Amino acid sequence: MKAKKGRSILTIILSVILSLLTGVSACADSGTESPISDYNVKVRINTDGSIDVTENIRYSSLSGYNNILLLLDKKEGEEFEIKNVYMLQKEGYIECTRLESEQWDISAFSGTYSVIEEPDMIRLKVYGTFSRRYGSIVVQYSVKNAVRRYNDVAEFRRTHIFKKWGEHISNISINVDLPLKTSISQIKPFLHGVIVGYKKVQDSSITFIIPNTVPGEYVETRIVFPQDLIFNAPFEEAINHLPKVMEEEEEYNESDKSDLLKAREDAAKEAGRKAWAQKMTQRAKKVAAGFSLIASILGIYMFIRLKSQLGKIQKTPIPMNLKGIDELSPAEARMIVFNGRTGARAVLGSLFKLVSLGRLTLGVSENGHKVMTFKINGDINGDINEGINDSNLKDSDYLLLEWLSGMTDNKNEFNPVILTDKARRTASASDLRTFLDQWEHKVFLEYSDRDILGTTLLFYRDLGLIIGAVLFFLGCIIPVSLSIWTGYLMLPVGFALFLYSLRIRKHTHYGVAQHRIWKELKKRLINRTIALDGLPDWMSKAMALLGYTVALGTEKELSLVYAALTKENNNLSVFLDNNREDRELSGIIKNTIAVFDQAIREVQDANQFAV
Amino acid sequence: MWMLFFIVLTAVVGINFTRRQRGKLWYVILAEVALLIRFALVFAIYYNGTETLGTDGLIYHLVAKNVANQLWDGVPIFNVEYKFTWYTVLVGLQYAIFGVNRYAASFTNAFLAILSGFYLTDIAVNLKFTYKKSAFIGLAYIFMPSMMVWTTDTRKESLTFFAAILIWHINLLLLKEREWPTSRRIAYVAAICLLLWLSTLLRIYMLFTLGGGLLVCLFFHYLKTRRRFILYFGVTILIFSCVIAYTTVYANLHDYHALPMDSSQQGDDTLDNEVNTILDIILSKDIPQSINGFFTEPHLDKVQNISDIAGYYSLITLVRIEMLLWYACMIMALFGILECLLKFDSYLLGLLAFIVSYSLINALVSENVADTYYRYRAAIVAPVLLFADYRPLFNHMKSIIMRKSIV
Repeated sequence: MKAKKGRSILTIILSVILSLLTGVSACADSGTESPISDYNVKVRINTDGSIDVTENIRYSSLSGYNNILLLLDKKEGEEFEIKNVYMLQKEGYIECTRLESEQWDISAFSGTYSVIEEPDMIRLKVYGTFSRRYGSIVVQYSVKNAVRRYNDVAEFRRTHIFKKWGEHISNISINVDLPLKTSISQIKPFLHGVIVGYKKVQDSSITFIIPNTVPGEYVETRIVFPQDLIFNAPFEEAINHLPKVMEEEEEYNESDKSDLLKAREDAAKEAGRKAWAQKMTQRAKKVAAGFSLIASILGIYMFIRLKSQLGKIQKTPIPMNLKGIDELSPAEARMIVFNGRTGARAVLGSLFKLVSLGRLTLGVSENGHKVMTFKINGDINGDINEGINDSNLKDSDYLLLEWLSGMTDNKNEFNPVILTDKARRTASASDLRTFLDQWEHKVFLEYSDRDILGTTLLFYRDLGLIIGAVLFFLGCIIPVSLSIWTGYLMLPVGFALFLYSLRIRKHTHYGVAQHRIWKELKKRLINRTIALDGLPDWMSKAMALLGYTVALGTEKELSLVYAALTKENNNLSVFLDNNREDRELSGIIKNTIAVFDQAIREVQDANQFAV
Repeated sequence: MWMLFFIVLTAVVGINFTRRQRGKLWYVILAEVALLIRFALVFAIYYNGTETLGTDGLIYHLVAKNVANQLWDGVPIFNVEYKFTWYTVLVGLQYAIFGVNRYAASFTNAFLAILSGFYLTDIAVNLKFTYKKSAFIGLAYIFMPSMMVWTTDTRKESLTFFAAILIWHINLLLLKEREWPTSRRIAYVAAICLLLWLSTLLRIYMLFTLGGGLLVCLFFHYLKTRRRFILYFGVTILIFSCVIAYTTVYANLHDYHALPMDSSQQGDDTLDNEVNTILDIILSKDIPQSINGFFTEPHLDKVQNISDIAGYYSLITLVRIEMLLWYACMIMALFGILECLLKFDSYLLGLLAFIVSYSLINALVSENVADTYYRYRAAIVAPVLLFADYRPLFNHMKSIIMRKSIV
């Protein structure tokens, strides 16, 4: 039920974001301006029934278009020939070249055109760089058999603007010149497809003027004139055609033209919607810019507020005597001192700790570089042998022992050198990475059990996470959908807040206090400004101290470890099977760390990909 | 004959890709369906003949015919004169061997698109996505309507996308496989370098987007693992990129037709002039508007203005639906991107660098034309699909807030 509710909420949120993205962006550039501001057509009818047409079209709302499409009427039986295509450039009109076979070396992106013939129309595409300033083309073409000759009359009928073009076009002027002069009364011009428009006949010239068209309208002209004007044309049919024409025109005149009315109505609505959308877009831009700034400031405020909450904690004095130091494992100590990282030193430090607890025995491998080896004492599941103290073992320690038992040879001894080979094999590297992931997670959980967030901090953490994520998403969506700079500000603010909130545990009272104490301890170990009796009891045992030394990265300075060994009345031979000089210990530790470090680094990506 | 060949080849390759996934024959069948749809589209667009239809596709076909003629005349392939793009040489070679046939060139493109889908699925599987999700990503890619159009005509898009996806696939294998012999690794790195060069020949800025993405990926991967091989790999790519930048990018910058250069500024071939021209183009743009354009054009109300589909209501509706799905995909991808940043996944960070750099270059430099943006954006569809899932981030956040995990 909860999942269903969550899914519904998610769906609603996504829908809102989607509508914001699509709706607003769709309106971002809308305007009521007609894409075509002038459409002039000059038709000359020849005596053979062919026509020569010149179309001059001016585009007004182009911005960097690389092609323009023109739909030209073509009826059955007509022979169509594009003669010239010109486009306006800076230097004036240039003649365009037709893209045809074997003309591959022409510049295809400036001043060319292609022609696609369809059953009822010609698609003419002109290629070049068009802009609002230079957005004019001129097309000249001729059509044979365009005018039909009958016994009584000749008929010119063409569609100049197609219904499916779907563009707003203004200032349409169509001029048709007859081949010879004739009586005006014998010329019958008709205009179809638009509600507003008029025609005039002067001498042998017919002009159609249409102020504008909207999507859904079309412009078709029809002229009936004496057939003997095209005396060179063949007869289409030996019939009297005028009665049919008049009948059709009467039908057209009497039709309700609801489709055209609807087109006008839709266009008016569309224009209103676009004007409203443009207004809303401008308003949305202003609101979004303000919102982005406020949201970013809110994010920064949230960040400062979080820091100030934590800052109160951080102002507590450093306990110089290490009195407040908590008993962390070497892995936990490394994690808080090294910004959440664990790695090879944490594993090795934990192994030394296990040696100090009697679960492991230390040895040295003689093959190649000398490295430390570890032998498991007794049963890893808690067989209490003499000298073994399990009371301090944690889940992560048991997991480490379990892993170690799988890595030992037939003498029950683990030599770290085998890790190098395992890290280079896909399957074993993946196993090693899986173990490390599980072990590190356990170490994290053990630490977080101590570092419990207070209710206030928990609230701020969750709030920070949510606000950070929301700001990140809005920082991606708002500036892209509304094209505003200020929106991008939310992106870094949101991401920073998100990351900071995610890692807030590092900054709690407990976290900060331990971080400072352990850093101080590290500093003192390096500077030799701490004595063995200044250390807590649980750290002062030689092998435990070695573990912390390795985990904290201070193994170059081992004098305290030697002191601990002396105090325990032991020398290194207790831990190293063969009698070794003290100075060798440092080199062996260095080699062991290097082997662990290389292997564990190499498998960092082992579980990133499927095996 | 060609169709049959590619149908069989798709089946063989598809079965090979899914051999580790039992009972996944449906995936191969769907891929075959996508191939057949492309074949049908080829017949539809060449309905009125192959010698007059199209724009870039037609020009490349005609150049390829000329290349084939040169090859038949005995001109060695390295001395062949060609225009616009190296893709025309490849098609010319096909024409020279098998005869001039624009249908065959288109079928090859269709097959490359399907192959890209297979590789994309394989990348997703290797990134440990479930097979269902991986297959969905691959199928979404090959069934995307605009992708069908861009990858069916004799345009270079199919090869460009294939090269990009193949580079990322090989990169993934190189990062993943630890037991390969050195010779095999060298061969794969060499293959990436070769593909990088070919991609640069196809679109000059691909060097910076693909090369940059790879370097980002390898840099973070090296920081994480300190594997010496990654270091050598990264250095090789860096050196090779510098070589390509000098020998290929610089040499071809002036002829790059996608840059909307002002003809009055042409004539001076110096690099300074080219760079100045590019800077002028960038500075003349409304940058947020251009970024909006690259990611969201064609806006729903402008779809009808795309000249290729003007007047075809069904195609306009199809593009509108695709745009809505693309918007949803981008929003979904934001979740994946945030998750990738949190996990600091070096491979996905590299892909992200590729997406961001490719988008910015195209938004800032390419022509401000809806259908140009639409076509150029197709190159990032595949990587964006790899991010498009809200669930990993939701589960991650949920486990943090429910105290089940710390980070």
